Amino acid sequence: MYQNDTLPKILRDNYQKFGDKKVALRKKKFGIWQEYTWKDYFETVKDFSLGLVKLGFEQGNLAAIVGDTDPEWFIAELSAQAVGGKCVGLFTDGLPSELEYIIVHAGATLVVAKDQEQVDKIIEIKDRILNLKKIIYWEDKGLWNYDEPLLISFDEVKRLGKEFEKSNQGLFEQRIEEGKGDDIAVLCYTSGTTGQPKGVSLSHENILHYARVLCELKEPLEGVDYLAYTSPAWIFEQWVGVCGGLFFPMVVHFCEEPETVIHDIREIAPSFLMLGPRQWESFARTVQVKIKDTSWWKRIFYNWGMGVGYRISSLLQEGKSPSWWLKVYHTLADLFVLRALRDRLGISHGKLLLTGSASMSPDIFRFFHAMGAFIRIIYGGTEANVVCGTGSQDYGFETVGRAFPGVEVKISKEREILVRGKQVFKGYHMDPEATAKRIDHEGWFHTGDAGTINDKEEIIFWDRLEELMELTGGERFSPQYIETKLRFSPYIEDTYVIGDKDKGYVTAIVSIDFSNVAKWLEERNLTFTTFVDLSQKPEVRMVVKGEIEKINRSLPDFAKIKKFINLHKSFDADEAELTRTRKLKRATMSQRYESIIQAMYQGEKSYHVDASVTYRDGRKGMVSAELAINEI
Amino acid sequence: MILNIIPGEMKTTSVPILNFENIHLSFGGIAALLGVSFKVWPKEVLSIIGPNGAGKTCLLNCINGFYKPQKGNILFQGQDVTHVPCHKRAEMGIARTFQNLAIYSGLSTIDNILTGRHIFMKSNTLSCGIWYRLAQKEEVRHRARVEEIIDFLEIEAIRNHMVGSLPYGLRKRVELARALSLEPQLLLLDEPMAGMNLEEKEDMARFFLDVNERMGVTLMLIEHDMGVVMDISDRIVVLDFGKKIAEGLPKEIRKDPKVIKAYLMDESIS
Repeated sequence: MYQNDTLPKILRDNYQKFGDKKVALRKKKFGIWQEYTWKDYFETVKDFSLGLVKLGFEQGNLAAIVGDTDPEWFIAELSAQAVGGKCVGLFTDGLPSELEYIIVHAGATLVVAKDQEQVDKIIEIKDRILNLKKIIYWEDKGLWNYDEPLLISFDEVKRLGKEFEKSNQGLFEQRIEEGKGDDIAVLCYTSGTTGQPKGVSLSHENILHYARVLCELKEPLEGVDYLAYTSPAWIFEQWVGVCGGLFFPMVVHFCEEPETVIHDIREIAPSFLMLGPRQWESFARTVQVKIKDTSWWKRIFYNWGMGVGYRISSLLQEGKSPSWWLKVYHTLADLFVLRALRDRLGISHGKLLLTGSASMSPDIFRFFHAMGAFIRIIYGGTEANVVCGTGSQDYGFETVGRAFPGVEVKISKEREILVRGKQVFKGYHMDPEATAKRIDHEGWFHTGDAGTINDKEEIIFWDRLEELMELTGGERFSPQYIETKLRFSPYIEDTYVIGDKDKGYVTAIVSIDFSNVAKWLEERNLTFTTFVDLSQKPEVRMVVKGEIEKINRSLPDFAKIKKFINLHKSFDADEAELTRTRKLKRATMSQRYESIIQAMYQGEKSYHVDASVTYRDGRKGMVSAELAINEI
Repeated sequence: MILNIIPGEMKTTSVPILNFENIHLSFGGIAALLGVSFKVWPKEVLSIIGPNGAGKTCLLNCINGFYKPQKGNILFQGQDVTHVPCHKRAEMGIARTFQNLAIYSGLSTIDNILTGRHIFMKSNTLSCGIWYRLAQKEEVRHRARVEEIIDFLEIEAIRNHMVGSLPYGLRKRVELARALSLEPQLLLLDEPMAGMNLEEKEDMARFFLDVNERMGVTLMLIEHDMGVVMDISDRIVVLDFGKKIAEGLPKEIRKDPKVIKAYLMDESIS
């Protein structure tokens, strides 16, 4: 049992322990990193907190916060919690109507907004917010001449708090002591892809879960530099930035402006960094584009260094240890190439680099792993909290790791990931019906995600449940998950995975990657004439079979691909097989290739195709070919 | 935050910041300005409009001392500056931006803005070169001021970028930053929004109002975008063929028949 069960209590203890000897927060302002020690942090929270009380904010009240990730956000949140209140975070790009829905639904009586842009939105909707006491802003630019009586500046609230303290000595400390771990600390609104967003009530214990897990796993995070970049309206920043910053404690850095993040990351070189998959992909693309633009000799060095990195990465994935000469090579590559790359991206000190929230291509994991930066995955959600994550030695990139201590995970008959544990949320705000739908009588939270658990007890996340298909036996599988995995093969450009209630097993139509397969064949002194000829070469079919077998190994038996056919052509957006962003049009595909699919399920050995093809210049032609049906 | 701020001060006082009295300017036989007179009041936003060749830029050039008028007087804060050279006028508090960008494209944003601070620098070349004591303190002080301006104009992300590699809209903002670093009383803006898209124009207009409101700087603006002119100006002066044909509030100018006839051709002003 931890001694301190609320965030303000941990803040108080850090203040007593470190005072002004250690830095708690750093924010770049006027081009210089400005530091807040634990004393500054605590005293600012104290003043602001008492200022809120002076403005009529009472125990159980709720403050809404909207703005970029700044120290003021953290201070406002902890201040509200310190006096027994709670808060709800809003995203800065929300429309006034969206902000209104959340503020009204959550029942906020105070709004803390960053700047003119956010203040304007709140002023627009203020008449529809019941009992709105004040709108507090922390950046006064452009607000100098506003005569809105509800407006008050952050500094003015602090000043009120300081004055209030003179006649109310000890009130702040008393309120902190009264706080309990089960008190609701934060409301997080889910994105609301189905209907209106729902408010997820999270207690102090809930949001402290991840920090405690990392502590139990003995991750060396005390005093490390962390960059708070994502919005605290998102649960992750609550887990790490707000809670982790207090719990370990870490030095939490804030970007100067959202546009300067790349520059700031490099300056800080954080040890703990969490970015979404798109941001890591953008980092990787930046490197690739810059390397293309650089001088030829730098490119040679880069290719050599990354080549060595990739070899080491592959060996580690296979569980083998590199030979001594490869280790020497790697040391040199690291010295001359990889270290400089990591430094350029600001991840040279990265001890814990994380990603989550969406699936990321294994290619990106391998890219960074080859560079010497190991990105780990965490899986979880606002309601379920952090469920699992990969460890520092899990180089598989296929799973989302093992369940964290204290978290129970099981897979339902419908292949849904169910989660149970203390970390699971307290319920949806003012919506017991929705809560009852998601948490069953045994206390299992239904995540709505589909997945499986392998023999190493690692969880494999497939897809959202509604995206799944069902086989005759009732087993559900995710065609998209299998297709995504197959596309990582250099020899497979696209696939269409088939299987539904009428079919007992899974099959695939494969479109080979023409240039890579042709190169592979040429290297073996074999010849071919056309795409059709190439796709049906026995050697090529064997290569594709090998790739599918590799993927099959990570799939449960019922989802393994049993048969496949190499298509005589590429999937083409011009023929409405793909969207313009190269997403598969499943309905068109099932109609178009109905007879091929039938042939696979009727046990035939091959299928004769006389297909019409639209050439790139718009001409139409006929292709006649015998397509082999391959069994695995 | 920006220093020396006097927010919300009354715009009209009895002493004009600039008194432009009966100015005549000609180049050989071509008359650019013919007896133009007007006053600019402290902390107001005054726009100069008129068709191409009306003499708008000549008028700004006369104010900052680049052109010397053959006749007439220019009084800045009550002092006759008609024969005062450009650099002295800059020291007195007149700054400007140019129709065609005039920034150092090979320098970074910070260095460009720092060049605007040279009028306040006292250290000599040698002490600046060895960066010793006074020179060091001085640079730190000026750099702090530059950072305040960078924060004010929200150009943190391009602080260290070479200005030549920046998009046009940002280069215009750097030029404005450099003009502000002179801590002017009167800022002359020559077509500051030409070539900008709508979003950039909105941002720029917001910055002008902030400069005017927060820093108390008087703005004189030449602009062809009538929407911007009508929205942000306190008063407007209209020139045509070197003569002032109208002066007044935007709503008056909008209805002035002479203005409509000479320049705005009905639809553009309405």
